[in-house]
Amino acid sequence: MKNKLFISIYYGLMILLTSCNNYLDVKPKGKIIPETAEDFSTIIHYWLDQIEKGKDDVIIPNPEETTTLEMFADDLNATLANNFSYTSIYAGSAINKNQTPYKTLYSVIKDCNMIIGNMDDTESDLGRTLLGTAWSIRSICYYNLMQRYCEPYQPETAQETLGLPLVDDFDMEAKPARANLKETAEFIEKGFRNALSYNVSNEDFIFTSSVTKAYLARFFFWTQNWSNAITYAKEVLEEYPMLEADEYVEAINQKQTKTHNVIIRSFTMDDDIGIMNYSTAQADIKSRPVDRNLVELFAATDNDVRRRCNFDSKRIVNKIITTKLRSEELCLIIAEAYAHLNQETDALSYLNQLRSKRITQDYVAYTIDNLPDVFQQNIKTDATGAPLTKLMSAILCERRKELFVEGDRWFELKRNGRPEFWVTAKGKKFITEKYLYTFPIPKADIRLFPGLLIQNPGYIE
Amino acid sequence: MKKILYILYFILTGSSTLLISCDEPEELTPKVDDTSDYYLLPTGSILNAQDREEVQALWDEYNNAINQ
Repeated sequence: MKNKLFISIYYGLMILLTSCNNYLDVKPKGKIIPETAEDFSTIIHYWLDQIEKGKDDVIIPNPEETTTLEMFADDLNATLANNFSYTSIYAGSAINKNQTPYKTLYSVIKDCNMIIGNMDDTESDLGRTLLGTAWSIRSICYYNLMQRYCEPYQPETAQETLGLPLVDDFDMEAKPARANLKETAEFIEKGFRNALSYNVSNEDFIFTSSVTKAYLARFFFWTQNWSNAITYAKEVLEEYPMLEADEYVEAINQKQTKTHNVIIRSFTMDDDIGIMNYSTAQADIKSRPVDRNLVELFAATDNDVRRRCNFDSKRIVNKIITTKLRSEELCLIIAEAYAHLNQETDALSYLNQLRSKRITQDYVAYTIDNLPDVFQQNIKTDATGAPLTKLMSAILCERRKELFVEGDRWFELKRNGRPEFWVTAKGKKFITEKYLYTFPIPKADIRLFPGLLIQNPGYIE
Repeated sequence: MKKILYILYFILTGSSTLLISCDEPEELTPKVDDTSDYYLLPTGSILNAQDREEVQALWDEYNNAINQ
């Protein structure tokens, strides 16, 4: 009897203990599963905070990221660099580093999708603002991805060109393949239009309707939808007038101020990491002198206020590195878009609007008859592949001068024919080949989704 | 004899319980990852005579310009 009791207890204990295999599991503490609009707003505010403090690398990147892009381009001369410290000699030496923004951008997209797909409150003011902001940020992220990880947009071949994996809901198990470039562009446009439908006006959320429209102008410009680029750029340009010459001199080197021509910028608040990024950017940009070709471009126009603001007599950059989208870029978008539409008078009108604000003495407006000859530089063809006309050359040169060291030149080279050029360092010659303009999809992702994610050409394992 | 049977019983049930508890028998320490997340970087080429001349001209122009 005693033995039977003992055996029964023994068996009972064995069964109980075996079943209990999660007995050490602890419920997570301090983690909130978002339900209300306030909960969801903490997700978006994390990214807004990163932008304001100059810590964001991918949405409105911090100044250090802008410097990195300038190191790939041709306005600064790597051959004449006094050191390379932590900077990349050219795009080819940053192949592995260039995989990183892909992951971060998709991380932002994941957060936006969480808000777009899971927030029940779609009617309150906060809910609507959040949705508008999430749609806008998501499309900006996809636009940034398209610029970096896809080949330049050509309407005729977009359907056969590799686009991006399009993730439009929060699904950890999803394994989307790369869409084509046309589908990618349509997806981005739809996102921007959804953002506009919420008419965000709250400046605390940064991505107001005006910001979305300015990005739409950039997006249509990149995808060669010229008339839409003009429509949106004009609308925002009216709201954000360009700076006059004296205002330009005062404002262009503002470290954190958002002047009246700036639609959006990063690093508007002090932060230790932000200041470190900012300081590194200013130091790095001074390690390379300005390229002779750009010096000659400035020399062709006397009394251009940008000349002394941009670099000194030793050809070292004077201009403070910041990341922003400002109305002058929109003016140039309009001018170039009109030129592509063969509306030369309108193109000249917008080109002259900007020039008149930068040339302080003896300003002469351009007409078709007095346009200078095509300026000899690395870019030989325009965005459509056609040889540069005098008008197009003048517009591209104006853009090069106005947006100097603002992270634009690398994408200008990519958009206009991806010219190959070389630099030397450590006794070797490095060529920026065509394929380097399109960054590699992270190798880890390619391995994770075999057969689904196709790598951009040129990259060797 | 009975005592031996009991001992055998305990050994059998004890060991089987231990085996049942092992609900993830294939759980092993992670295999050492022999893959790399990096791509081969272009190594560049050695400058030829013409390249060297161009580079020298670039330096000369630069030094002249900044020392004026």
